[in-house]
Amino acid sequence: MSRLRTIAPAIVATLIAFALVTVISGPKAASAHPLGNFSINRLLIANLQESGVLSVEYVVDSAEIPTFQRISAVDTNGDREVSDAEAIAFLAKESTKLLNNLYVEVDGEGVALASAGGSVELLEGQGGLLTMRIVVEATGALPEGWSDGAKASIRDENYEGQAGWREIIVRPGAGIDLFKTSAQTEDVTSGLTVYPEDLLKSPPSVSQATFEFKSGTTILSSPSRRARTSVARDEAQRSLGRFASLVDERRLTPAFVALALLLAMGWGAMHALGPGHGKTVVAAYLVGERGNGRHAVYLGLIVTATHTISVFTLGLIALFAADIFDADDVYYWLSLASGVLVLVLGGMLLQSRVRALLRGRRYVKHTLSGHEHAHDGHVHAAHEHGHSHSHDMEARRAFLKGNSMLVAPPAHAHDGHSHNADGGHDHHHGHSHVPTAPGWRGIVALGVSGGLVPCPTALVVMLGAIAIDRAVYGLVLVTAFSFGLAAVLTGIGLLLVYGRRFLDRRAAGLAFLKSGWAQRFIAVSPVLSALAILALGVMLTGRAML
Amino acid sequence: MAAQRLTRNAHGLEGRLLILWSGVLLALGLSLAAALSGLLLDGDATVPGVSAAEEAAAREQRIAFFEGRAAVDPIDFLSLNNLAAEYLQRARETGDVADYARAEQAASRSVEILPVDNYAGLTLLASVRLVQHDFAAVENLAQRALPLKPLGATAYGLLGDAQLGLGRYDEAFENYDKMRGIDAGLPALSRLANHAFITGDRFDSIDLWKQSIAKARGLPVENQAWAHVQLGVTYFAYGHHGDAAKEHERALKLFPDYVHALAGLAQTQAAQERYDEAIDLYTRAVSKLPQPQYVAALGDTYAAAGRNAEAQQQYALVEAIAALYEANGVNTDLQISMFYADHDRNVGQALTMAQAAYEAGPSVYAADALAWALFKNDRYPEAAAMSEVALAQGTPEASFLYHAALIRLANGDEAGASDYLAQALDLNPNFAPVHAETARELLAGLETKQ
Repeated sequence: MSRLRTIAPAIVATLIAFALVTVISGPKAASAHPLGNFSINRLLIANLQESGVLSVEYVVDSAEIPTFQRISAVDTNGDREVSDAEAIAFLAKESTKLLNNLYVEVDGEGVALASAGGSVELLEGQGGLLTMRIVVEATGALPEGWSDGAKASIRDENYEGQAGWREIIVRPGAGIDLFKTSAQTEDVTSGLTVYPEDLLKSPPSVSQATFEFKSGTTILSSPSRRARTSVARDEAQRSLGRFASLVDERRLTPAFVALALLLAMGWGAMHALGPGHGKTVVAAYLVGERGNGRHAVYLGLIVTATHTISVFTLGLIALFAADIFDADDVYYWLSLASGVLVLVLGGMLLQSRVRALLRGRRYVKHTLSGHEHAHDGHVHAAHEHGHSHSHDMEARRAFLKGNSMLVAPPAHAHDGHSHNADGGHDHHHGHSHVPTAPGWRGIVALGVSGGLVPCPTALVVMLGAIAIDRAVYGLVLVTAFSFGLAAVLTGIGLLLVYGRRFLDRRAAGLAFLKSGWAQRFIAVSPVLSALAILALGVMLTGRAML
Repeated sequence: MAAQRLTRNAHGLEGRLLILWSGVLLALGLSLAAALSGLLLDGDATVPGVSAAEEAAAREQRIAFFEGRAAVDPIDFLSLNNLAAEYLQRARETGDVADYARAEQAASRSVEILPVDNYAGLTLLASVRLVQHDFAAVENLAQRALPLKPLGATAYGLLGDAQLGLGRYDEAFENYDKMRGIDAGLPALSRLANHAFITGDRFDSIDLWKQSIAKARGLPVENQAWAHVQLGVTYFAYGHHGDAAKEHERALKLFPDYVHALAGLAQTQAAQERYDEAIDLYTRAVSKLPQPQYVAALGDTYAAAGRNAEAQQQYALVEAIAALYEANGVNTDLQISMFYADHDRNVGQALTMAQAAYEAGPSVYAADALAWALFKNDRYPEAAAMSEVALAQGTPEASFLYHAALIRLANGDEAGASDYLAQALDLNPNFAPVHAETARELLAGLETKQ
């Protein structure tokens, strides 16, 4: 990425300062605290109780250095242990200090927190040093009327700017409904005693939370959903790892290659089901443009081709043109191009559909009135009620002239006092004058955009294959992968195309679709889907520039 | 005719709507174009005037985004590379050493996934090793990265950094110069400035730091602040305490509570015997990032102000940090070695550490620390030889000269000693609270003797 190119060297450069100023070396061994020996970790757990009591548990876990800096305040006699007397004396001062920096507001009213006990302990840390764990318990009274619904906020201003785990947890007790909460409801650290070991997950840094609550039936969500998704994710991770390993299988028997191709396709499909990959754009486009099965298939083929070419090109660039291009840079530009493509497509669609909508509205009137051909070239304002009668008259005349094929059935024409409300029109106007099929340019743009950004997994396979002189095999695997990826996009497209047709057929008989609002919505829906594509384009472009 | 009038009205309506839509599209297009041209011109989306806090918030978002990507796709090396770069920068801004561990994890995983064509992964891993002072590893990784992208600047810089740490200053200069040839930005200029400082080129080092500051615009605010701090440190070394203070203040304006600027400013205050201000500034720096060098300096300032009990507290903290280093397997730290030797504590330990550090990277700084530790262990002839190595490049560090003077004196060379003392005080009259005073007294004594 370009960001990488510009920032990384700057960082690297700045690192040499450490040769001059000489710097602290990062501890090499993993330390117990997620933020190292300098951290002060804070956790606030707020329990909302039916009785109108807010109970707060506030935990401060200081790592070795901050503990050392203030140990004399706790361990006054220096025996490395906290006696009861020392604990009481220390907590008396400390809990007031800590609680004074916690701000709880319910419906704009401050809730005073009164200390309700606590504890302090010194634990063995690294290097013969100690760590300190302070727990302060407090309660506050919720203001009257909270049970009908209240908005609340919690702010923690202790140790601002200090590195460490910072988290706020809000738990509804029995008989309380909690909603719109920005806080977590589950403590994954068991009160800051165990920290997650996954290094590539920055610790939370939450010092503020807002939530709403009222009295109600308890809904204590089961943790099973979270567990299930993480299992699924682990499975996905394993499979993707295996895809990459396909490439360095030592002996390539035909059976193995065949299996590998199948697997590659499967993983491509699975990858397409993950976030991104323009599924939404495809859906919005095909539905809005009333594409057919052929469009969906071509779209799939274009995605396959683009993705394969893209991965292969990037692989070749990495090999032969690394001087000029950084793989990261190319990746960045491709993401950006893909986003811009969707953006432009969305813009074009929006423009043509708005135009079509305006034209379509007029056509609604004219077709209804049988005016369109009989009075060629006359265009009437769509929403002038005053004209309905004249339309009606003209329609009747047209009908009587024998233009019945072009004209709505007489019943409709007679019925024309309320154009928009007449559901029967749905079939022969409204959409019939909106572009009937997606433009090929649109399909190509969409397909290219969907395949342009190479999936890193495929890229690794490609580069790995090239590195062990199996470029062709790598290309074949990547093609299969892209094909699987495209198959999912096509499948979704087909599903939507046929699903929509099915719905159209069924919908003709649905009463609610005859309402004015439904009609209006149907008329505007292509514009909405164009807007959706435009919005996605903005999002993709923005994310690429991130 | 009524119909024609209606037609015109309809066109009018459509026309207005079209204008509206084209307006919307134009606005979108323009903002995109602006963003793009910003990217193309600066190579970075950072607009001057963006505050450090805004940058940090944006960084958090990017980190969360890439962490999510890395979690979903275990071999997404591109996201890992991005993460490593972001972690490294965050570590610089917050002082949170755990981010170095994260950066190490991300970069080494990226290199594991793609050991072949992974220039960014290799250079990022090298950057992590540089922080860990593993110069041999830096050199190795940079050598691996170089052929992947012969026109890439970063690997040359890192190769030079490794050589700088290993005391091979000529080679380092060659690579830095190549780097400047490819991209004369802050990364190359700041390296050359540092090289010029170490090799005693007064004019070049100040000029190159000024150029670096000019080039830092558009980079993260922290990088700009850092360049100012480095210029400040350079000014201080040459005894220009007022200019130095100005640079540190500029850095603080850019990046509030920047630890290195606070400490740098504190140093200038202490040099002007404004001990209360210095203590206040050091305390702020240390409460954010207890780097042993700054904790020791705070202790020294307390001592200079006559507040001995508080000085002892800070010295005890340095020892606690040293204990942690030991527990974590870091035994090459020059700051700790220097602290021990300076304060006559654990001088044996100071020697062991300095020896290990000199072995891992025989730079002038390691040489000076080793000379000083040898002196404190009464090994005067060896100390004299080592102090020659420390002074060989002409590095403008008054403390090097002060150490050399005391070593000469211990070896019975009074003329040499007074010569070095005079040089030290000439270079930077108040280089350190206690030592500068000692140096003046010694010099006066030696001169009256002669």
